[in-house]
Amino acid sequence: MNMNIATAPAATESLSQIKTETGLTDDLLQPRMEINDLSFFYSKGSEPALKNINMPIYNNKVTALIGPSGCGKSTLLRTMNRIFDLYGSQSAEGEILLDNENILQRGVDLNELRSKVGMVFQKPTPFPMSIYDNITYGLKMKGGLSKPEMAIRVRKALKRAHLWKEVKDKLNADASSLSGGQQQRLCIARTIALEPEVILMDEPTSALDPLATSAIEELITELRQKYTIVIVTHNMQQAMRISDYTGFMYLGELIEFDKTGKIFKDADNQKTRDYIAGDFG
Amino acid sequence: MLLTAMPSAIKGDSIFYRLSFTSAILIFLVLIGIILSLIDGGWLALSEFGPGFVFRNVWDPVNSEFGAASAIYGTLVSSLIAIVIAIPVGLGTAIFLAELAPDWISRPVSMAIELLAAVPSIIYGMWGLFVFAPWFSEGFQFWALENLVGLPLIGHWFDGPPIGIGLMTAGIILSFMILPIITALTRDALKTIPNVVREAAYGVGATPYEVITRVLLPSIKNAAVGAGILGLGRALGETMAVAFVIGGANRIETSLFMPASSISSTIAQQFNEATNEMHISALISLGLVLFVLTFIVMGAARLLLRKR
Repeated sequence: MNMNIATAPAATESLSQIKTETGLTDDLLQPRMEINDLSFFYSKGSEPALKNINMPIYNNKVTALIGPSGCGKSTLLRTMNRIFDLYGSQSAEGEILLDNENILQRGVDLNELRSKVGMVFQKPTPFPMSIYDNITYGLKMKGGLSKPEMAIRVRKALKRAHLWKEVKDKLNADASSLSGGQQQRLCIARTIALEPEVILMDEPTSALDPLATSAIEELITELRQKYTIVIVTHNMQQAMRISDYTGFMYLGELIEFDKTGKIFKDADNQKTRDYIAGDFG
Repeated sequence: MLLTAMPSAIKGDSIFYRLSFTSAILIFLVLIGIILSLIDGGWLALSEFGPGFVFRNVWDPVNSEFGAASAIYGTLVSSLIAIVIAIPVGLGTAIFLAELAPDWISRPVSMAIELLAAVPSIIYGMWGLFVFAPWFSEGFQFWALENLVGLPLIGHWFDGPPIGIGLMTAGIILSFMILPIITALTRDALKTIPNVVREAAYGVGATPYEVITRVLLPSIKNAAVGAGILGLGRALGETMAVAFVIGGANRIETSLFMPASSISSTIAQQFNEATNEMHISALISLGLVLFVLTFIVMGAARLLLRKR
């Protein structure tokens, strides 16, 4: 079985091959990030949680990562802004290029990286401060904005996250007073306010009700025009609805990466087809 | 089966209910009993000096003139000094242990802090009198006399004989004693903050300082206040350690270097020598005052925490 996976086309072939084979050669399609031979270890000398991942993240597209629990989707996402660095024992090998710079290198400014690669988590994580301050929190770190500029940014971010109408009269209210769906949109607004290049989303709707979920999904589709989005999801319908590209992961390997339509209708790999058909997972 | 089993289950339940109810009531009765006996024992002094007992600044066993003001002053000021020292140090230690230190440092240090909490207060008192006080006298007090006395507003705090014992020493020893509680409680509170909150804060490009001060500390505000109050509660009632180093003088002095006495140290030091009834009754009244004082502090803490 492992043999089968190891020889799966997408997992072993280079980026350029993937591009030609999937007909993604048009000029518009620029990879914003490139992941090359990435392996990840939760502690020194342990089994790799990610094994030789190769994958492009295309500019202004939504890339979905799907796969059964524990397959490494979230782990992969967490390498892209090096949030795993908070835990001393975890380490990544290989390359993740962002604008042709390897972010896994030593000496990369993590604060700058994280303002370029924003992250939205599974559960809403409002900070214990007002709605307004939640959004300016990251902006202040970045610096260089005057107060009026900051206010404009806040307004813009909240509007883009479709939260402005609901909160414009209570910007000074505690962020925890918002509903779960609103909190999640606030977290997205907080991320957008930094004007990142890439937004990582780790199952952003799994803690929300269907109505809030569809609001967030719509938002993601819109945000694609301005940002590059990578989303981890357990919900295959969701991946189908909102993503342009889909990567299927299994046991720490990227089994297949292709256009979403192809993955869901006509996947090359048997494992992918089985997972899509609901045979395991 | 089920039907026949039920009556005995109900019976068992009711016995259990009564047992636990009795335990709860018992505690309540003990509390009431303590208050009543304090009032009864202190009645002689309280009726002699009236409610003014609390504010009278005199403690003269020879002439049977008693007032609680100096002891209350000593208790409050020494506890305040303890809190002022212990809260920042405890918070800083907790932040270091929970957020910044690698495991191999934070484990042994955490353990040491928990052991510090287990040290009996008499050890602190002895150490304070024989080791800390001489050192404090030669080190800080002489320096303070030369350099701090001239300062406006706070200069007079340091104007006194550099004898090593006094209000300030008591406060510092108390701060050592309450440091473990404050550190342990705030550290545990920091540990309960889910990692995803930290990740989110770091995820917008914040530095550790900004994550800690703007996100993590505000999240544990209640726990930190609670820890401070618990520490204060312990400092107010602490007897042995304070009795060793506070100096045992029933006076109100503006200098923190002067010998003073707290409520509990006065009771501990004088109960054996108290021969006349008025003296004993005044000491019991002091006990009642301390009881009420701690009650007020704890009540205020409850209110403060409920409001947020």
